[in-house]
Amino acid sequence: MDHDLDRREFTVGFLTASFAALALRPTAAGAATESPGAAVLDQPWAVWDEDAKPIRGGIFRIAAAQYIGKMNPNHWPVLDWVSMGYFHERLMMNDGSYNSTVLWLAEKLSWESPQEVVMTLREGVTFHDGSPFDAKSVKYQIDWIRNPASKTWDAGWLAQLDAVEVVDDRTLRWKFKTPWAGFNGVMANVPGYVMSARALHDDVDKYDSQPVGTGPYIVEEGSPDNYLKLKRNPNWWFAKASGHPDMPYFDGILVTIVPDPAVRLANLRAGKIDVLLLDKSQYAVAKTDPGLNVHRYPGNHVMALRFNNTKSVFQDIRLRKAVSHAIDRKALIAGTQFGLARLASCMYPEDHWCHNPNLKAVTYDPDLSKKLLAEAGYGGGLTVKGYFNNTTMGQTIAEAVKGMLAQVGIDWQVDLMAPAAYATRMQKMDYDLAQGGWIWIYDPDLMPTGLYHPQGGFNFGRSKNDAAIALIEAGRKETDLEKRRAIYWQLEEVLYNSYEDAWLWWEETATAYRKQVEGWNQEGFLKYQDAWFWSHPLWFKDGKA
Amino acid sequence: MTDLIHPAAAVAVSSASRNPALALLRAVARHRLASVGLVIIATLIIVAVFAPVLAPYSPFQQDLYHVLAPPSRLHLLGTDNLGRDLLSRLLYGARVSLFVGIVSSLVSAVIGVVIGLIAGFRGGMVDAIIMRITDAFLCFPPLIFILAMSAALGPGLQNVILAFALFGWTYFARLARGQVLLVRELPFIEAARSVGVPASRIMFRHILPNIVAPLLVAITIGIGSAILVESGVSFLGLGVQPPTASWGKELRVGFTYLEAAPLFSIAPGVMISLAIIAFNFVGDGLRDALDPRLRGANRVSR
Amino acid sequence: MGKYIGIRLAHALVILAIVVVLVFIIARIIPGDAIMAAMAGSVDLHDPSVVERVRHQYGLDQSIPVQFAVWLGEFLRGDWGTSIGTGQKVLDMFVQRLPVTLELFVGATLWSIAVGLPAGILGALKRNSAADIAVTAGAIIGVSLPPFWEAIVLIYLFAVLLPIFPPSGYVPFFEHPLLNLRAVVLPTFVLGTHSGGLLARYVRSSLLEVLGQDYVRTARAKGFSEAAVIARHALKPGMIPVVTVIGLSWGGLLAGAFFIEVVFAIPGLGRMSVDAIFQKDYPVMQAMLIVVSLNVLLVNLLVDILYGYLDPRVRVRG
Repeated sequence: MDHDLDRREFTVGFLTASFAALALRPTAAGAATESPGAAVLDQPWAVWDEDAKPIRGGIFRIAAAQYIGKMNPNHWPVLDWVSMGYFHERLMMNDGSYNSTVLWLAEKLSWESPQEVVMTLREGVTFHDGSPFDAKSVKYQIDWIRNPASKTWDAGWLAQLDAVEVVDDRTLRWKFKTPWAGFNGVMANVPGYVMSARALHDDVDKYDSQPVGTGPYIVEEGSPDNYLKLKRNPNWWFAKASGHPDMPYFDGILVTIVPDPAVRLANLRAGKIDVLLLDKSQYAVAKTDPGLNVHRYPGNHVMALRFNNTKSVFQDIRLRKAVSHAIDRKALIAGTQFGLARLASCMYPEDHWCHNPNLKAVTYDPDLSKKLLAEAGYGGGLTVKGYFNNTTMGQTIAEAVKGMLAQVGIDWQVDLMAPAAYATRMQKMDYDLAQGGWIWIYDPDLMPTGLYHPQGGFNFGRSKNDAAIALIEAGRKETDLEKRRAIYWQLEEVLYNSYEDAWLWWEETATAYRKQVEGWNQEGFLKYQDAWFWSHPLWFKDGKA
Repeated sequence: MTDLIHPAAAVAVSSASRNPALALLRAVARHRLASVGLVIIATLIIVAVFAPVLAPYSPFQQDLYHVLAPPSRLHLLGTDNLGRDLLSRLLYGARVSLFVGIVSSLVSAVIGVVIGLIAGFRGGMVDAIIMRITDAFLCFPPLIFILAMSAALGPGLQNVILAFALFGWTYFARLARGQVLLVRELPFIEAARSVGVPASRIMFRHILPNIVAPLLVAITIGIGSAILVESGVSFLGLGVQPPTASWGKELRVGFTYLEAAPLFSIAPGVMISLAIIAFNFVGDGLRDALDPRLRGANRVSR
Repeated sequence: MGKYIGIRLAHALVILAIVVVLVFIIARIIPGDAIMAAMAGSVDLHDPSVVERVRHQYGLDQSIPVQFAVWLGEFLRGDWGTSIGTGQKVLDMFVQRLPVTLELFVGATLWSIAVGLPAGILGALKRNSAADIAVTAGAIIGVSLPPFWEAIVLIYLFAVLLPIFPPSGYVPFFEHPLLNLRAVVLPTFVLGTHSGGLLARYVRSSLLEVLGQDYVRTARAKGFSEAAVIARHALKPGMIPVVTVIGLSWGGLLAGAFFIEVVFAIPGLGRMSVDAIFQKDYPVMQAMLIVVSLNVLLVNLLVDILYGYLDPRVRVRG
């Protein structure tokens, strides 16, 4: 059925691109430097509303579009990363501007040199099977990931790692083959999910369905395609470390699989589930429901149209300009996103730390488009081909854009295809104008490398902007945060001026909670995102659903 | 499985009147449900043919600031997810759905009848092989087979028709073969053959006229099936490509927006149901008219 | 009779062979690379060594005839392979989901009998009356309504507007019988109306046929009341085709189950099949097509033998 806008979609772009980018990165200096010992309570996000009196109890019910699949994050397929986060935790996490600076299970990072990091692990953390979270366990896990016999798909992400050594129970020494600025990002990503070495060692196949992590919940039972049951972890390290021994507050979590967005909403309104990531069309309806609290927040995805800049008519910048100015972005957002998106100027969303605030969104100017088309010799009309995602949302966007382009005389013959099917066309550059954009924008290097660098996982030769390439390579080497940011500002300007792609909008998401669910703080979440979400568990009013 | 037409009925029809078609039509008109069905079908065809005149808007005219609007004076059924007038989309959709339905059934009939006649006439090994292949195809639930075929052939109008025909021929083949077997054994046919009348003559003068009536029933009901299949296939994502409107495609998109715009899901479904019901009513009436006392033995399975 | 069974059996085997080949072909001609489809979620698309490794794992690097032979051998031995999409063993997936779909079937059959049987009898008894026409119309409508649409409407009415039934989901029977029954009411009703319509028609026509027989007329002439006539002479023989219709309509139920399971989010065989077709999950698709066809073949074989036993003319006509 229709798996719109959900975890799988996000996973495709993110994981593929990330792997490609990280694996192919040449030299890079350590971007993060020394972090002072980060006791939990010293963190800026470690603030709780002491007037609120959370009550323990109840089973929290979620509806997911797909079953999680495998529960070892390094095995494929994993189709639900939100649920994954309930029982597996990472060494590092991302902050409110999508930078991987938050220390979680790693308590301290000391960069001895751009090629060597000493990591101190948190004390007092145990896995769900009682085994201790210590340096030996992490080393075992990392070595296991890199072992070809383990058949992990993310082994390539650790390609720049030379070795990881145990210094003592709580300390590890990481040695890189080359300076590695992306190290923090990897630790905040899939290889950074800590798994019990004992469980991995004893029965690695069983781990896929009975994982052993350190998270606030423990996997109780998984029924494929039906539900996933998690139960409360009474020994969650964070509860003790933060001084809130009652955390997490729910007795358990039940994830039910419901493929259709309409049926998911029906379940929410009928009180059968407690939270729902809303389909944008449902936002208006959910907002007026007196039994729901709806929260809207920015997402780190960008939607764009990609040009074939090297092998099609779009080598001519006038035609790229014509397309970009022919699109009424405001109308697109209003109609296809129901207002839940932010007008995009360039790549990085406005809350990302590398966003260039001096660039403005491309104006809607169909007359200019027609003029440019005529100038370029296509006054009588232009026919271009391409592809777009065949989900309901993808179809809607494609049809809307097609209509807008038709108004200025451009006939976009767009084929609606599934991602696996259009991957081939992308590789062969068999398109003029097609689906573009990027999801899960964290480390600033991944996206531009993937899209505009010759070695990028999503380029395949379609873009060759020398100025941009030079800036991308410079950005990988720069250790100073301010200087690095300046490089990316310049990069955005270069791409913007050359109309390298047509950026449309930055994502917004809306989630609805039943009024019974308490503990959400919109301000805190907007400011600290990931860090806030996992450190501020929710609870039921009166302790029941 | 007994799907042969009872000899008595076959003879009855062939010897009835000079013009079996007219007799049939008269019988149908008398049948109340079938006449209702005919009226509905006629209306749908008129709608389809005159869609450009009847539709208040172009089915492609987008209005992104008024998507999923509820019914109003401007838009009698509201708008769809791109702000297009739903009523106009449905009126134009009638063209697609009816076209696909009718052509699919006809193509299946042609292919099936030809194969069935060959099987019936040749007999022996040829017949046995063809029959086993037919049975093999019939082992698959139709929708599954057609879905897989659609996935294989890819999206698009012609592919839906092709996918349906690749399965639908089986029913018609059986029908035709059954008729041939029946008529072959009649005394005057045997006499004709022994005298040396060529097979093609026998086929055209004796078999085909007899087959017309049950064939008509099968085609009519086949149209209903084809419309159902097209909507089902479109519902699952294959089928016609946007911006073409077909009832099944509208239903699919509409389902996503069930709460926001319930009419978007309900209306296309009503159209599809009406069409299928109408064709089934008429097919039923035809069947009754053909064979009023022996319905149990005359089964054209779906 | 023995010869008749023998011929039928031989036919069935030939058909089975054709089916097996057909299944294999169908699975292969669906375009798109199965491995790419499954791996799109996790591996760098242009690391050829990894893609090749997985392709080899699934045996997809061998020639088609070899693949066929290997698959057939394993299948017969009970190794139905591993799903490319979920990574589970196909046989396990089947075993997990079969009871769910089976419950839907049983429920649907119960509904169709509950609705279709009395309707059909009513129609036959009151032939050509308003009631009869209503029954026929109702039956045809039941058969004509697209099941996925009916499902949508029912969800909207009975789960959103009036929250009586849960809009989706499935609770295993042994876990919570009451919730389980509540969850399957809507889905089985939708499935049941479809086959119920068919059943009503067949009951009506077969009953009519029986009622027109001489021995029934004789019974009437002898002075038995209409009720007695029906109960003693018409009902039983009228039911024979009914039983076979129920058996044969299971094929149609499977097709309907596809949509029902997708719309109602029920983890049964139908949903598994749809996903497999769209994700080009060969092992699952092949196994599913074989199982379904085998089921139809067996039912047909049994019906043919039954008819051969009951009606000697069939044996001769073949």
